[in-house]
Amino acid sequence: MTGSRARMAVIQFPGMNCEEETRRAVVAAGASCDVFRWNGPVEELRSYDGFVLPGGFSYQDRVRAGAIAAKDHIISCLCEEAESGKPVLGICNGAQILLETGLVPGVTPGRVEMGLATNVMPDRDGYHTRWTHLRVETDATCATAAIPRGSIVPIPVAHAEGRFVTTEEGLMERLSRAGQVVMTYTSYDGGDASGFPANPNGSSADIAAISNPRGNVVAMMPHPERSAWLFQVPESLGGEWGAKRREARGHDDMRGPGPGAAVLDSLVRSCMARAR
Amino acid sequence: MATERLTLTVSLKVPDNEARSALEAIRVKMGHAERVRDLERDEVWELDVECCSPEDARAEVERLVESTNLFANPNKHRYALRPGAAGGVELSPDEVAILVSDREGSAGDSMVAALKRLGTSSVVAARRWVQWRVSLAEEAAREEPTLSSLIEGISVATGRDGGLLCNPHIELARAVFPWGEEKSLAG
Repeated sequence: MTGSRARMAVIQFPGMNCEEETRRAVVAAGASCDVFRWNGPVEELRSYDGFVLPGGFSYQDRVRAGAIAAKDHIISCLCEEAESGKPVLGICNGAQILLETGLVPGVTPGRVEMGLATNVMPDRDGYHTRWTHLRVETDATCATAAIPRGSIVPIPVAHAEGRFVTTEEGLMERLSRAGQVVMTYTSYDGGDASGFPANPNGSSADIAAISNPRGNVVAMMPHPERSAWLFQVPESLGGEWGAKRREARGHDDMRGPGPGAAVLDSLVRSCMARAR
Repeated sequence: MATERLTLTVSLKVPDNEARSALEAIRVKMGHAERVRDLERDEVWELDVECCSPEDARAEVERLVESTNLFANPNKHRYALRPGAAGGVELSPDEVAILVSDREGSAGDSMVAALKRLGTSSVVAARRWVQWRVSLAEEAAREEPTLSSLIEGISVATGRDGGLLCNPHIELARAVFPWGEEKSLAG
């Protein structure tokens, strides 16, 4: 803690490209925040209250997205801190790293139980970016503690491998029963995604984010830092947030919080609650 | 018309940064510096080609490689073509090949679709494998079951401490040993 503020680290691996906007969004949520490089002094990492693995292309996605970063020395320290209860949020490539380390879903801690497969979309393949609407399925995680269950939160995705899959029989149902499915893709009015484009990658059970059993480690494919301010929301977006954005045109309200701010508020609140 | 299966192996003529990164991870981060000496990577396409004869099939694939640039960029790649399925690779006594492919075969389906968009329907099925050739150090065990255990340990990502080349939830992997035996690592 720095005074009354949580102290957070955005961990940057070579090839990541979202560290600075993620840091800014965490600061806007009320924490102090540093970008901590993968080859920094690992013991210093332990002085932070919580961590974000941001988006990008760690190690240029060599071998497989997140695979090489998951073997880095700093990850051992991050795993120990997560196991002690500190909040960890992985966004996009950060989520891919968390799955490759076995931190999530973490039913058997340290075991790789899932993968993020290539997007499945009709008549196209590869990298895809679009605004999605997410239904918050649980408020018992570090990424949703400040968001009422059932809320619809628009946040954009941008990835080529974002489809949560597993070969472990019954795991998806188990995660759902245990409240580890944190967010699912939905239509803008909260109806079922019913496939592409509301579900942008073919993810099983429309899953957009999952957590470990304790809820302090969350892997999410959408980018909350890209919707942390209202001015980032497109006027054409359907639902409540699109309407807010249109009403705010030309006013100072544009600089107010966007829908993704609630995810980072949740994270900072979780860090504060634990640090106290 | 018959269907002929050919294997196209595409290799970089320039240093392979991806293989270097993987080698560094295996040797330094995963602690196999004394057992693994080098790592090379090829892209292997298993292609089912509808043609009148094996010779026609070979000529058709050569034409596609040379004319479409979909499989190889002549500025940085070389390629080799042989009949049969992927896996029949020639290895030196200190090498093991690990073949990794996506479980759903989507890379192959995308290639067939791309060829169709270019007006070619002779390739009726394709599967893409990444072929890692692991060179073992002199001191590394060369015999089962120690060698199998080492290869599985560097290949299949089962936990945070081990396995790099294949996530078994999204990929298949098999090993080809220098004495010709093949073994499924993740299937």
